[in-house]
Amino acid sequence: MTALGYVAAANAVIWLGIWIYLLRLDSRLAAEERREPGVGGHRE
Amino acid sequence: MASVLFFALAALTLIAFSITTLAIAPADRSRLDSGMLWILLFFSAASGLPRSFVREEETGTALALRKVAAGETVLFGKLLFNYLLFLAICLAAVPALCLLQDWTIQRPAAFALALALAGYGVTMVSTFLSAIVSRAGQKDLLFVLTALPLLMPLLLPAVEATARAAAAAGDLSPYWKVLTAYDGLVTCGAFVLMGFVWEG
Amino acid sequence: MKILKLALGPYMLAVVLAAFFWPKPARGFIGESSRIVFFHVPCAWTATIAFVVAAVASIVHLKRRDDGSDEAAAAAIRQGFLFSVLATVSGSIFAEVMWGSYWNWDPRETSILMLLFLYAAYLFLRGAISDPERRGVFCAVYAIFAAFIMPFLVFVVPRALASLHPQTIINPQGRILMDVPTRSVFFGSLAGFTALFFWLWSLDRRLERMKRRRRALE
Repeated sequence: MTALGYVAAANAVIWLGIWIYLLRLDSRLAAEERREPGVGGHRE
Repeated sequence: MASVLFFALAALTLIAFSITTLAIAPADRSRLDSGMLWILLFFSAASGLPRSFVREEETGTALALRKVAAGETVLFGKLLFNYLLFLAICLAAVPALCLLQDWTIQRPAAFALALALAGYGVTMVSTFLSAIVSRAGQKDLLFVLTALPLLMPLLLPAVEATARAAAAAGDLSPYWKVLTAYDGLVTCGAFVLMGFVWEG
Repeated sequence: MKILKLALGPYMLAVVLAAFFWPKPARGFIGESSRIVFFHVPCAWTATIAFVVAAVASIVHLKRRDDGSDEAAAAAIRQGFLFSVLATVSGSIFAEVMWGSYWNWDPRETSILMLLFLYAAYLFLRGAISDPERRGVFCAVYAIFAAFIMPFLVFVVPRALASLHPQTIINPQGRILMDVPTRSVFFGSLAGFTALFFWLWSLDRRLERMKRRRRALE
């Protein structure tokens, strides 16, 4: 793989990591919001 | 007032001292001296201008003032005082700088106008910000940090304008427009928003 | 909304890979460095959008004086700060590759730096005021006041100063000159970054709202 290929792969991995982290944060927040009565008002 | 002037002269001396041995081409000197002048003016303003609001808060007269006067009126009053203070700082700093740096100003009228126009902008923003900062913590640092980004669009053209005015030739007309536009914008912004600050 | 969040992952992955493999490197750039445009410009764009969002939220706050709008403004500022750091750093790296120095005081560079300082100043101001109501009002005032000045800096000053100095190599935007692959990846990236910003903004607000509710219960 060329140098460019490595850089592209690294970028892809970084992005996927960020995305997965955000998804998990989002679901954790949603779960908390569902648990507490009257809290949140955020609709999925 | 005296302490502000003293600060200005002390800072000036330090700056001038540190660059005396630099061999700078005459064409660039104007820009360097101009830059130094505005650094000096900015920090002198930062140390002196917020005081009027801060002292009111500290001595407790601010509360009474808030009951009696509208925000805009107070802003105008402080602005006037601060502008005169700024001009006084200029009157001390400019000749001193010219003397120490062997800087000749070829077009004094244009130079004075640049100082007056840009100085108004500095004063307007500083006075408005002091009203906010006087009621927060870490006032000195907070003032410098909040003022700098707001003043950058003014100071960059101002440095150029005074540098050009110091030189014999160079078109200044775009600078008059830019400086006046900035002054107009910040005046509008400050007077429109002062009400919220005053009652907050 | 959930579908969009799930779709964003593969979408941006496609954009990232496309950025490296689809368009050819642009002429006039050194090596592959033109590809940074697909990252750098969307960051700067997003930083600006964040500022507009913050300013609007601030205006709403001055009218309504509720926690929601204050949190919305602060969240936009925080995200804006993140993106302006990314924009400044990526721009600086590009400048080093392209022109040999990390900083040139080019008008555009100066304005992104100014935006960065502005975000930092807002966050510092926020930290310096303990009373929540006053904090909301004063921060809103600062953001709106800055909004008065910002367009001035971004549009007027570079034009005014540029008319006097010979234009050094400004960021080659060359929008009109983009070929199809470049245009697709560029606007695709722009859309993706904007979506990412709004997602981050929403997460930040929800987090703050949760913290606020928790505090109220104690």
